[in-house]
Amino acid sequence: MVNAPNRPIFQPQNPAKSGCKLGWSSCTCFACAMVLDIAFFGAKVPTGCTIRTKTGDVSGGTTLPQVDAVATNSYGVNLETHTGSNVATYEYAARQLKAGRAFILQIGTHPLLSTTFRSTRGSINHAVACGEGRGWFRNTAGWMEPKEVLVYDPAADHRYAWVDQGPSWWPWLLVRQAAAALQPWGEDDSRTLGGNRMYAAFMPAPKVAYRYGGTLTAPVPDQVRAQSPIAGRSAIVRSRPTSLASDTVVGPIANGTLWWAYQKTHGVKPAGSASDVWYGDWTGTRWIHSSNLQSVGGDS
Amino acid sequence: MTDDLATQDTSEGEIALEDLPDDVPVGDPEKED
Repeated sequence: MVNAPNRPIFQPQNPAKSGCKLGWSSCTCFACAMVLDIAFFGAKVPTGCTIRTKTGDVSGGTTLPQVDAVATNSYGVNLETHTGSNVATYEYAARQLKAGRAFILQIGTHPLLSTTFRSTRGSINHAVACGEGRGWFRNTAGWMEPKEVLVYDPAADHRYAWVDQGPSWWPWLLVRQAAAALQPWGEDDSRTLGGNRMYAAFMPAPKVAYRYGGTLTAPVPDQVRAQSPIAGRSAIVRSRPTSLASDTVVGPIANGTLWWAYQKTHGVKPAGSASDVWYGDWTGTRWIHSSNLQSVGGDS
Repeated sequence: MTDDLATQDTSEGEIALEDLPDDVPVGDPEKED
C-alpha cells in the first residue's frame, strides 16, 4: 500500500529501538531526520543517529543550529532556522506548514504530561517533527491555522503504557502551548519562552519537478483524497499518467488517504471515464487519475 | 470552537527577544528515563 506522499518513516530515539547510544539526548537529530525524510520524499532517509554523529557532538543534547549545519553540509538541504531573536510566530509557522514545509520544533513537554500525547517521564526540553496540518480554518485574526498537526515525536515509542505511539495528530493549540513551554536556558531555569514564539527549523518549500506536461495546481498543494470509484477497491498510484500498463503501477493507496497534488496534466483516459486529467506529486513520479480522487481543490 | 482556538495563548512571551539564546540544547537522558 502506498503511503501518503509526504509522510516519513517514524524514527524512535530510544536506544533499545534505534541502536543509537546517544538516542535519548538526540531528539533534535531524530526530528531532523524525519523532516529530511519528508524533504527527500523518502528517497533518502538519514537516521537520527547518523545526524547526531555528523554533529560531532558526543555529550548532552543538541541544538537547532547544529542540525541545520548537518542538513546543509551533509545533505544539501538548507533549513530555515528560527531561534533567539529570530523566533517564528504561530502565524509564520502555520503558513509554512500549509505550504508543505515540515519543521523541527523545540518544545517543553510540561503541557503534554497530562495528555495522551505524553512521551517523557518529566517536564523537559524536547524536539519533535511537525509534518502536516489538517482542519485548516481562517481564524479571527484573518490567517489560516490548522486544527491539528501530525507530530512525529521521537520519544513517543509506547515503551510504557503511558507513552504515546507517534506519529499523532496533536491539537494545534497543544503544539503552541508546548512551543511556549520551552525553557531557553535549560530545565533548571524556570523561565519559559512564552506565547507566539517558536524555536523551529523549516525544510525548504517543495520544488515541483514538472513531468509529462504537468502544470501547477491551484491551490498549491491541492489537498485531495484517494477514493476508488469502484466499491471495495483501492485507488491506484502510477509512475506516469501516460499508460495504464501494469509496469506503471506504484501500488494501491487506501481510500481516504490525503494526497498532496502539486501538478496536473492530461494523460491516458481509463475505460469508462470521461476524464483524462491526472494529478501528480511534487516529484512527478507518482500520479493518480482524477477518477480516483475526491475533494479536489478543498482544504483538508 | 475554532474561535476559541484562535484567540487562546497568543500573548507574547515576556522575555525580550534580544535576550533569547540561539542555541538551546534539548534532550536529557537522565531526566528522560
